[in-house]
Amino acid sequence: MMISVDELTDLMVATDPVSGARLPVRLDAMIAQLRAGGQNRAARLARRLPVHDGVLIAEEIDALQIRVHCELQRLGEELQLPRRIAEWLLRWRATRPGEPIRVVDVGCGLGHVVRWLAAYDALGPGADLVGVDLNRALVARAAELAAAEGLHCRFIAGDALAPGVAGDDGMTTVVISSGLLHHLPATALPGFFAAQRDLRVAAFAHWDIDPGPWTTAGAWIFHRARMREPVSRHDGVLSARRAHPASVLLAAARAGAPDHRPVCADGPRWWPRLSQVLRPVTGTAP
Amino acid sequence: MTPGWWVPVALVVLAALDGAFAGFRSSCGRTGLIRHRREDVRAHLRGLATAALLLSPVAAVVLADVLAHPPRWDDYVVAGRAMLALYLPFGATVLAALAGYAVLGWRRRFLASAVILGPFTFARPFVAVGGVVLAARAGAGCTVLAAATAAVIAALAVEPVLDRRWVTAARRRPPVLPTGTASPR
Repeated sequence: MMISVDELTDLMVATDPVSGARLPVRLDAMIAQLRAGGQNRAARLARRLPVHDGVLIAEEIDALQIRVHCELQRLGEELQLPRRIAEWLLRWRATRPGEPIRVVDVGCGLGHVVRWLAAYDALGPGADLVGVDLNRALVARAAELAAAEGLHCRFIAGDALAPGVAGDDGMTTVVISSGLLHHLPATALPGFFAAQRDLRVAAFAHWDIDPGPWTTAGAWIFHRARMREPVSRHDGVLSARRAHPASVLLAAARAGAPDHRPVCADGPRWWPRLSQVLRPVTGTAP
Repeated sequence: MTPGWWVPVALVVLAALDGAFAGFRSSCGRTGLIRHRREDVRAHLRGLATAALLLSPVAAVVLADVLAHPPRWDDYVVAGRAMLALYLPFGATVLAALAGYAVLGWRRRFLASAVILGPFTFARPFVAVGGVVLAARAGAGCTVLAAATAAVIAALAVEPVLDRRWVTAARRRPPVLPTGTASPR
């Protein structure tokens, strides 16, 4: 039996893969899964989650998820995440001047990147900005936040890589994500990239943590200093530990979308590359 | 009584800056909005006010003690100078990083955050306590040390107090946008 190491936010919410309907999450099953993976601290944190009749209370879990993602957004601001992504998108778009594009942010959470791109009109005219996430509560809040600031972007609850969800109408589409890849097991990565090939996306760029001892130490320090929610602190450090090395991402991207000529590089493991603490795996269709 | 008036002045300035930044940190990651400059300004002022509120009893006690026992002024100055030996370089580094953050491009801004602002926030409570240890090593008496300890506790309490304020406010009137903002540290 394969034992996985899980983030609490991954286990707190379960949805039906077909209908997208919310499924009840039993606390004892969650704790058993964490214990099976040797995650005793996570199991202790899980014990503090709001429960009714042994089942996590959906509304309170949603509120917690929103708080966690608000904190995460703050960290994203410090990491200059939207600027990193905008810089790559602008460079890529320069090869197709004047062409309308759609940018789809997979696993967008509260849609920080999409809303930032919209707020600063970072990509110029002709950019359709779409955020997609399986978590309906996060998507709903993302849409509310965008409306509150009068931003031109939209959010969809669903599987971004399923046909027809984020638009397969022939428009030039770039799929991006940030902090998503480490949520997928290595075995699922080729399928993730293959789905983008099947959707005939013009390019993809997925940012995630460059794993290594320095990154893990930095994640620990920053989450202690910046995050309030114990769940945020736990999951943030685990994210750094779970992140896939470039070799794994590259192999998966080459297996799933070989025509996109994937690119991804890590630095030396024991030498901190601060400016590349988040680095993308990118691919562009021929 | 020796001169050394600059010692309390420097400590008050540092405490005010620290309080303002604590207010900012407490408000970060609450709303999820992209544009939050106005809220940031309010948060700094809130931190400043809270720091003043929490530290003023300590300041009043110290003032009363010095007025009642003028020779103790020298003890306070010696202790304060020892604390500033740690706090001033720490604060100057943070201010330099913040200045860099304000004027540099985003890549260097990130470096300022990754190398200084984040780790220094993490180190802040240890540095604050370290100042009291230095004051003790400088030979400060029990009264002076008690005042230094109380001041450090008050300064470190600013952020948790403001965090509690977010929680209380959210419970009293759940915010329309966004969030449950009700997470204490």
